[in-house]
Amino acid sequence: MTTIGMRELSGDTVDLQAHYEAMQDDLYDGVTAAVVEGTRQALAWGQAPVDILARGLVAGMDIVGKDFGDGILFVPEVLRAANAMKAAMEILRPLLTQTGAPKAGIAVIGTVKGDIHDIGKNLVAMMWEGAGFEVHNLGNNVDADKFIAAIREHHANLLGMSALLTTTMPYMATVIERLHQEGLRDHVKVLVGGAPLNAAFAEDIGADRYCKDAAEGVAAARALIRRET
Amino acid sequence: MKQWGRKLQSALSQCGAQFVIPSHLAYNRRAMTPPSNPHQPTASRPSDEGRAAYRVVFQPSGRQGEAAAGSNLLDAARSLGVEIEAICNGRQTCGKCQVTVEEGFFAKHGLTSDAEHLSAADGREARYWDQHPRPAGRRLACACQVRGDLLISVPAESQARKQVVRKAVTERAIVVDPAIRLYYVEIEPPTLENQLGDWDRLAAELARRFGLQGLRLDPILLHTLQPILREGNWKATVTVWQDCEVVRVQPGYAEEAYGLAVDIGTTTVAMHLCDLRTGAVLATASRMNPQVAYGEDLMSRVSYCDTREDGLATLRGAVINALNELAAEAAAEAGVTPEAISDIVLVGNTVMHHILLNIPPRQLGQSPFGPAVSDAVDIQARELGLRLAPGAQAHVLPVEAGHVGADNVGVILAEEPHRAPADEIWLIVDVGTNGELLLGNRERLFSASSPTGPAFEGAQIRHGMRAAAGAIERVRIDPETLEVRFKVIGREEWSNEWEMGKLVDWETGKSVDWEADRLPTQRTNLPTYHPTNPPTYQSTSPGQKARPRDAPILAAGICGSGIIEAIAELFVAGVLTPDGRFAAEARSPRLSWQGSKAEFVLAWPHEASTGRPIVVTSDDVRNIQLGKAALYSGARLLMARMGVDRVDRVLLAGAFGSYIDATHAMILGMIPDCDLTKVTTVGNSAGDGARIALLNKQQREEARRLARWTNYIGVAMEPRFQDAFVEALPMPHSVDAFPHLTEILQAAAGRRRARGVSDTVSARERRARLAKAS
Repeated sequence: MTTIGMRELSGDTVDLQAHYEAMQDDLYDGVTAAVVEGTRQALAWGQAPVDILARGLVAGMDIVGKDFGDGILFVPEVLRAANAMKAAMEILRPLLTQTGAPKAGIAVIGTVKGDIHDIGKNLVAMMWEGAGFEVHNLGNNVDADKFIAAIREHHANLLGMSALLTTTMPYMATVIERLHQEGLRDHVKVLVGGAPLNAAFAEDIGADRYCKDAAEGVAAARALIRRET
Repeated sequence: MKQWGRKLQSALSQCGAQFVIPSHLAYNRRAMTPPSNPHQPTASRPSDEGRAAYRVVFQPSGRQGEAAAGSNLLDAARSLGVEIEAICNGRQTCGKCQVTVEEGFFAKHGLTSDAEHLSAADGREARYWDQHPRPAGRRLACACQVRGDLLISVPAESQARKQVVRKAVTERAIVVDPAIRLYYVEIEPPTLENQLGDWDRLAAELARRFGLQGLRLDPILLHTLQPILREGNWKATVTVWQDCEVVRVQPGYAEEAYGLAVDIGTTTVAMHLCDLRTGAVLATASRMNPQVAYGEDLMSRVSYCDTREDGLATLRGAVINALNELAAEAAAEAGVTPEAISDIVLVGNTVMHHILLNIPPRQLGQSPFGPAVSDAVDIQARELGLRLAPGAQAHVLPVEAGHVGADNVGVILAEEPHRAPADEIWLIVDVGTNGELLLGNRERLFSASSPTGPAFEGAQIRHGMRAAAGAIERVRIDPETLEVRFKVIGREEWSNEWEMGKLVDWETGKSVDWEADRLPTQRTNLPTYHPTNPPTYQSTSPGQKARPRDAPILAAGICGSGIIEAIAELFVAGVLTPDGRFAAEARSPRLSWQGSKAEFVLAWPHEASTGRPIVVTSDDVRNIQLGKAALYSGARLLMARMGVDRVDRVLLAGAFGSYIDATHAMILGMIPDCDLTKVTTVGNSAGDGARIALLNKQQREEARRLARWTNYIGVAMEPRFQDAFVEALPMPHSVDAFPHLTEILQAAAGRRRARGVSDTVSARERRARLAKAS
């Protein structure tokens, strides 16, 4: 907070890079108030919302995601960071919509029908949001109809499905089958995850990628959407 | 009568008796029959002469009431709920109903008891005593008429409901009152004139002699009924289940009755063979559940049934086969035949329960996880495929919810949380792949299922294994030197006492000096272990086989209790931070890094049967954190439901629970804070519950009541579950206090400080670390 104040006094000679790095640090430490303040400050300096998102928030969440993947951070720290990010997004989202800024992608995510485990899935949803995706989290016990309707409604190009039970993971194949039937399969990239899954299963059911954790989920989503555009 | 009732009440309140039977309810019609000879009785006091009823007190039960003058003593006992053995049912031949008259004035009961207060021993009873030794004051209850006040002692051998002590940490009495009873009958043989069927004559006699009206006969018994009756010369002992169905007929007089109590676990099947007359456990047998071959965890079993046409048949066949083999094994050990086993009680989780009953378990594999049946199930054992007595009955305890099964009902029966004082809160944790929780006391009881994952059973742990020979089950780490000693299953001494030098090469017969051959001489000079380039401890002569003769058990892996202790010890030593990271500042040859992830060596290659080090990794710690947070948050949510913020007793149940060390479990934050002396392990409670239900038919009804009474809470659907779970990930917890661990936690924090370890990760440190690295 204090560092931001100092930059405020320096007027024209604002070190933007230092400001964004401070925002990234605040995000890493999960200090919501500081991240929100940093976002407001950058806006006050006339920075474009899309730049604040990319250089402050997304870059910060990337670091969080990397350290999560490396086992340095764990679920509580990632959720804290994601919550800070979410608060900042409340400010940026309406501005981004106004300016028609490009999104990293539009994602629909949910835990499949019959399964009620959703902490891991929520983590992925927050990390995707952190990576600049527009995320529609459908919760748990989601059937194919609901997935299809949400993909249509939001014009999603990314579908994430999670299952934590060997008994519920086959339902992912049902959803993919329905995507084909509805003529939507070519419009969305399908990512799947959950403890009992593996890459071979993802391949068998015709998903685009299996992701072992949230950090991988972000990298995979980016790679797939980038390839597409 | 009224006056007696008042006196009785005051006498009862004085002696603190638990049991009061209102006099108008206390007697059945037979006992209330007017005295046959009201003028004969010898009264204890002159004024009592000619009373219509007398007071009778039975010991040791303390049950008491009034008996009509001239009524039968055995009938009086039964009407008061005092169960006395009487296989011949009053024919004065079996001699089972022996009782002793205590003589004198008993102030506590306010009565004078005298041998003369019973009709004299004559006729058949006299002949019985001529042939059998007679302890002082002994009578056959069935032959006695009440003629005065009495204090009667029922010796242990005559008690139909015997008290036995359960073999467990919490010893308690089980009242023996099984669902099956034996009845001895003599029937008239058929003649050319009387051609009524053998069974019909048997049934008529059972009805006439024992009042067993409308008995059903298991039709399979007809196959052998005629030869049996003839072999016994028209005398037979009939085994009756729940006083409604004949399940076995034996020639002549017999008194043996056996039953099985079975716990079908996901990984282990265990059974007790019990003597149903005494309650004694005659044999115990267990083995791995053969279904493991088709899937380690429950959901994979459900999938197997769901995706294969013969899936259910295969899994059911596997477990039934195991049960039959175990029954034969147990019977052989007890010196009986499986055909002598006429009752069996089974418990298991819902998936095991469904598979056993040939119910497709599909619905248990997906939300909302509804079971096919909640209530208890009675079924013929042979219909399940069990080879016991042909008419044997099977009873499967009820289930509470889709993921809280009959095994948990067994735990309730055995540990009796529903009897906990109202001012105490008990928490029972059954640790397994699916943790089951019970919280409450006599007023309310909540249950929940918690998705702990298989980490506690050794899965998802780098060197995890099941609790089998060679599994590291105990770990101690010196907080200063970080030296490790451990214990493996199958070996008494700790690893630091292992004598490595006495090993003998199994091919050459020469002794192998492990210390000289395979190890750097000084332990403290051991090289830092790098996972990418593990040191190889080669024997000096390359051709020599490393397997020694009579090889003692070496460490093969880490089982659940071992991983819990290892992680808790590392935390206490200040090597692990509360958020579950290995501290980069800790220095030990046992600790090595690969990038930002670490491994800590528990067993060096020479201590391991694999010849490779056995380690605890960063990912192992994370997986245990996830499992323990699921358990803890489940318990915490139940506490919130109950409106309490502390527990007074914690019971760790389950075969695995028995090996968990309470302190380590609490340091890890698996269980809420509690006085450590009040945290106990209770062994296989589910199996004990099955035994209780086997030995006492009322407990089967109690189980049905308790299963409905217990409130199941779907914790995963509670709105606060995610927050509670995330808060519970750090060790022991991010928010909740653990006052009973204050010293340990302060010492751990002190060691972290001394090593310069920071408890949290911060961006500033991260930048410093990166700067240092580059």
